[in-house]
Amino acid sequence: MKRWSLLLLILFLAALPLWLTAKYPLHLLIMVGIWSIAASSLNLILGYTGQGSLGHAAFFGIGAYTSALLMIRLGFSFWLALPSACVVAALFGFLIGLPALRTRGSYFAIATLAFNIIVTIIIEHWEDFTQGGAGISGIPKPHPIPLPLIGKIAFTTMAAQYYLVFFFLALTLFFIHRIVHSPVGKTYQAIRGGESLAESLGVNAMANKLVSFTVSAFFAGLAGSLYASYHGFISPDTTNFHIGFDLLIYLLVGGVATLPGPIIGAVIMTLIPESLQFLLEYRIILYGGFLILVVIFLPRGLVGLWRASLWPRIRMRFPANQR
Amino acid sequence: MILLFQQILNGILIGSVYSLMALGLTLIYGILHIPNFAHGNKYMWGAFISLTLVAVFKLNYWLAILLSMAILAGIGLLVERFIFRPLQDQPHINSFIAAIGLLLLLEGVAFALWGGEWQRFPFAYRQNLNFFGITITLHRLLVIGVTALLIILLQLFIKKTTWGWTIEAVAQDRQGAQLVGVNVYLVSSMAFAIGTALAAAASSLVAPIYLVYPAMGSLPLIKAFVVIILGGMGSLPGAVIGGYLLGLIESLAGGYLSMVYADLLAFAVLVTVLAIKPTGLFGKKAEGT
Amino acid sequence: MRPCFRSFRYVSFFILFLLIFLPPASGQEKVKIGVITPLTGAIAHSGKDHLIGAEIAADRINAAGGVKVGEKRYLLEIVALDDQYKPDLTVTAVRRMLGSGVKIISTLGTGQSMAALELADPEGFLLLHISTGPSTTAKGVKMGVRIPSTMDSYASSSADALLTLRPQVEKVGVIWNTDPGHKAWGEIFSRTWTGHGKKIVSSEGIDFRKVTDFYPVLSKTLPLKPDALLVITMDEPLSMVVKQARELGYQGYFIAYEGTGDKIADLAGPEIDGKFMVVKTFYVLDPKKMEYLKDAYKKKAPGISPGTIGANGHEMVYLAALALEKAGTVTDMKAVRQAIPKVVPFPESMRGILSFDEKGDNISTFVLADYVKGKWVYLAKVYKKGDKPVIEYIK
Repeated sequence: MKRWSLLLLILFLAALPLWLTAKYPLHLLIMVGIWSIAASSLNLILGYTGQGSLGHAAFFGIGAYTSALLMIRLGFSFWLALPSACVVAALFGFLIGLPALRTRGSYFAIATLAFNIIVTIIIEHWEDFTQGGAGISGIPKPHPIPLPLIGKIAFTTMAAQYYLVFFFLALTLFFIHRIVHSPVGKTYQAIRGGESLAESLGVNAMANKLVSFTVSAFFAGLAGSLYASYHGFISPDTTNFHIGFDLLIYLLVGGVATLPGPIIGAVIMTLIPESLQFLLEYRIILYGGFLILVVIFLPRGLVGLWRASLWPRIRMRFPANQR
Repeated sequence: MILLFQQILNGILIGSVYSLMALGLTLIYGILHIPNFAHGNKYMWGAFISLTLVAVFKLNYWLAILLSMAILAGIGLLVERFIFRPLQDQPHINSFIAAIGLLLLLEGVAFALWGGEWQRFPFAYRQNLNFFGITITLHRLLVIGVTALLIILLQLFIKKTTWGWTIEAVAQDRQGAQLVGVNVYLVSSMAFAIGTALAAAASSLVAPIYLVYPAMGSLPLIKAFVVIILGGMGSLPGAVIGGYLLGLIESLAGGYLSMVYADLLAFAVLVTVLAIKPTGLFGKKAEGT
Repeated sequence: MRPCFRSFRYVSFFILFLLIFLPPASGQEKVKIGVITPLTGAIAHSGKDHLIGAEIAADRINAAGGVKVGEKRYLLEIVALDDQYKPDLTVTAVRRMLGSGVKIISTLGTGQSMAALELADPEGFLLLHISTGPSTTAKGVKMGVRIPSTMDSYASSSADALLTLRPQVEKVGVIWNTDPGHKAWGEIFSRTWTGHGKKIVSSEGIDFRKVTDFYPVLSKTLPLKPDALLVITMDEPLSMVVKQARELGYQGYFIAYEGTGDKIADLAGPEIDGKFMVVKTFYVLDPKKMEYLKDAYKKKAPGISPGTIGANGHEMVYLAALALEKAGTVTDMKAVRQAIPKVVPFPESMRGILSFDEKGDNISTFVLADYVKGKWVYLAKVYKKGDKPVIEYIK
């Protein structure tokens, strides 16, 4: 049942741009896709490994800047810049994780936040390298890929961008799914459950946390690289820690430690402000109130609600042997 | 030499604000174990309420500060009771999100009530004082003095009164305190109220020197977090020492290097301290995940 | 239920359906102008100013019958969206507006405008941006037009004029906001000033959105004994810097840049008395225009006084309206873009725009003013003749 519904969903999403050609909804979907990748990356270290990083915007931004600078300064093709951006982001994840993961809980949260702010300050003021506050513009879209029979696939249309992001989102989810359901993933969840306890069972918590953090940074960098090429313009604001907070909110609303959680969260938290635009400056009051209510009444997020309450009730009404 | 002393005096002033903010934050953290990101906007509300009391109701400055502290304490009580208490038993990340929601709520309502413009406080002690070649306005001196007074009063309260002891007890061991009959809910409310009132005091004291606007709390908040990590979460002396230390670092770095480096230095110091001592200078044992 | 009641229900539903879904009685046709600006967040008061300025202009034009394009008359409709001063939300807002048929859009802020500029040529909409960073026109986007004037002329002419107006000033200390536009202003001024053989004793950058205590930077700058302090930031922080500098014993001049409005007079009048020089880009030589704008703000948004950004918003709408009329089309935005340089200067201009170049930069008249004994005193009028700036000193 689950396999079929997943396949149906994928087919639906793949066919979407064929009839939905309006650019605004496509744009929203692309942004949701990019944020989903980023939120999923945070999910790995936060949801599954239990370390609450508040500084993930740093890796997102580093991925974006690496990708942009490689393409503009060194003439790299997007297809080389993207993996490079992921690797560089992962490298920073490793370097920042080394000192930061020695701390725990709220200390870790603030330490990652501090690193994030340091990254932002450096990017903003190292003008010779990053062009500082003016940002980098004219970041190219992915270069066309020549395919044997079909000819070149170009990425100039929005539909093409959509498929690109969609592809990488699927890739990200695939990898995270594999990680989470492997013995390594179980180790991460053990660490989340209680680090000291896990260590007493022989788990090397530090090494595992570091790997999780690094991989998480890798995928955050992936999202950043896609963001850079899609928008064509980035600035130090792309590393602003508010992005990390937003990702956290997507995770919570959607459901931490679930695979669909980050996506659902990204969808809802992107759509809500857009639909409330008419309220102009009063939006922020509703948004804040909404967050508080969700957190108090839906602590496991929407996916958690579905799995814990709604789906079992549906199952009860339609027991398996009748379907 | 004179420049050095001037910068030191500046640093003590900046440090005073940071200390009060950090004290409030660490008090709340010690009891509830949540980093309260909405603290910055409570600080902001304190300033706006004082501003309104002085500008619209023509209240005496010091009376306005006291009233603002009282009102913010009340808001703190409501917030603790209706937002953070229901989230007590849930993963900390949920309280964190609630704090963000509260932050946005406070910002939005402040904007709706008072507008987004930068506002000038209509009152300040303008007299200039000159000694040994250093210039300082009376108001700045008063801020330093009153802050020191508040810190001493808080210390006395914690160490010498029963209420203060119960706060310390709950901070050290919540369940243990419950076992001996302490009403932990009352203590949580008190801690929250006092912490919030301290933020109101901080902002009301410096509002005449600074400008008042809805986003004014974000930077002091981040700095306050740096302070409590530096000093150790839940440690009151850590908050005070860390606060003044950070103020001095910033002032000296800003004076001798540049303002940009001042910020960078503050955060670099933080991560360095954490790398060496993961629970801060005066922090307690590493907390469980 | 009795048959006649049932059919009554059906009929009433049908009528309701018609009323909801039928097009409304045809009023006047409208041309939409989009305003994408921060309506929430730290810069919200600037965003609000942007919107109000635009709305006031639209109201005024509509009251006079709207825009005459060919044979038809169109009313202007201002459509506003909040981008929270975040460039990727600017892009979302642009996409949304394009989707609902808006072809003329105004953005606020250098980063936000840069993000929107990436779309202007490919999507073919007119982008009238309020940005100060040089990068937005250096980019060479055909459909982009900068509303504030290029700062080169203001910044360098201010330095030139300072030479003549205040010959006793030798050393200048610069305190600039870390916004790229403000930083560039400081750099141009400094270059011009040192080019005259004078001195820049210090150059300090502060993020004025975050910092409001200037003692550290002033304690560092004042011992270097500058004769004048150039402070590049908005009115309110400027007033704090002024006050704190005076507290620390500074007696010299203050120079402010073109983003400074009238508020500085209310906030720090006594402290700047006779020792001030500011570039005013409101067309202040016509006091009736200032009165009109202030009154319009009082009616539309009591409690908010017009700032430079509002004046730019007002200018933006007029430019759009006049260009639509000149081009004779509401659909061909390329033609409208080409009409923009042809409609200046125009009488209702709040900013005295004189001309545009193909990159989308404009030259306008501006005025250098001092504030003496409670009144603005105009020192010089600056404009460009061809390529050279002309400074007319006012006796």
